[in-house]
Amino acid sequence: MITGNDLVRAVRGPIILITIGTLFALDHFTPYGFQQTWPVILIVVGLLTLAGRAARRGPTTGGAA
Amino acid sequence: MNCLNHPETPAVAFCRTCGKPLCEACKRSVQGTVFCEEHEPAVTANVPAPPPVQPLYTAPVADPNVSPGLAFALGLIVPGVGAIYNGQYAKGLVHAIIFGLLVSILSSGSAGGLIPLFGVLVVVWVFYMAIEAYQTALKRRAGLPVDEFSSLVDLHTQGGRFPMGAVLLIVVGLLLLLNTTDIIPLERVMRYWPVLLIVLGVYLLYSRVAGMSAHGVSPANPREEVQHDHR
Repeated sequence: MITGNDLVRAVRGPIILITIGTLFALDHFTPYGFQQTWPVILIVVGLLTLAGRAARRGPTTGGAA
Repeated sequence: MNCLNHPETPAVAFCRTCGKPLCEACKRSVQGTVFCEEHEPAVTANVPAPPPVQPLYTAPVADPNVSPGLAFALGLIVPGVGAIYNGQYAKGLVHAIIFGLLVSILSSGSAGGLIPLFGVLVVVWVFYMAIEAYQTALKRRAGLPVDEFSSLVDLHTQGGRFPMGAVLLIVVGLLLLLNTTDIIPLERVMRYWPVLLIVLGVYLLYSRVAGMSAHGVSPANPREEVQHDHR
């Protein structure tokens, strides 16, 4: 119950950092500029929120219904 | 997160030995360290003090020195500093990053026809940060628990409600990504904006009907009931 939620909370910051780092790497080394790829950050944050929610609910209710 | 023994009571601390969440009634403090009932050590006199262990999370105490006005001013002057004043460093960073992103989008010209929208968003965001810091400072002064990622909009609804914030972020992110990669220009999508009104209406209808049928309450105050919904 605690572990899943805590895990998501713990990886949230690093994953966002990795995403931003990847986007800037793409900006430097590929034609995809940061001004094209920045919405990926929004999507990742949304997915992390969903994951945290699933982890909070999953073990107690037996998975999202 | 709620107490293991009382699932309806929010946890205020964790046992140092087994780590289970405990509410105010269940936690046992021994020389400044929190234990659960099973792991509470027998208190003996003149035992050398245990090494100071930082509890994972303790209930906050009221702090009269917290100034909501200062938090508001700081939050208004420098993005993110209001949250940092409240000790919410990660949130301050997130606030500053979002502010920077909004300004970058504006100045890079990638907003296209949406420059007015982002201009307004920047202003709204500045005031949001300041007011959020003000409210958090009020809570801290009153000794109420403050989550690291607390916000004015309650995104952490525990119940079985639709995860509005997360889905909204993903949908907006996808739309903007399609726009910036020139797959589907936003102008074409924006023509469908009345659909938003319909979706919002359906969502409100759904949450009210669900809240009413779950509790059998009068529809006089549906918002309050929804917040009490714990499935």
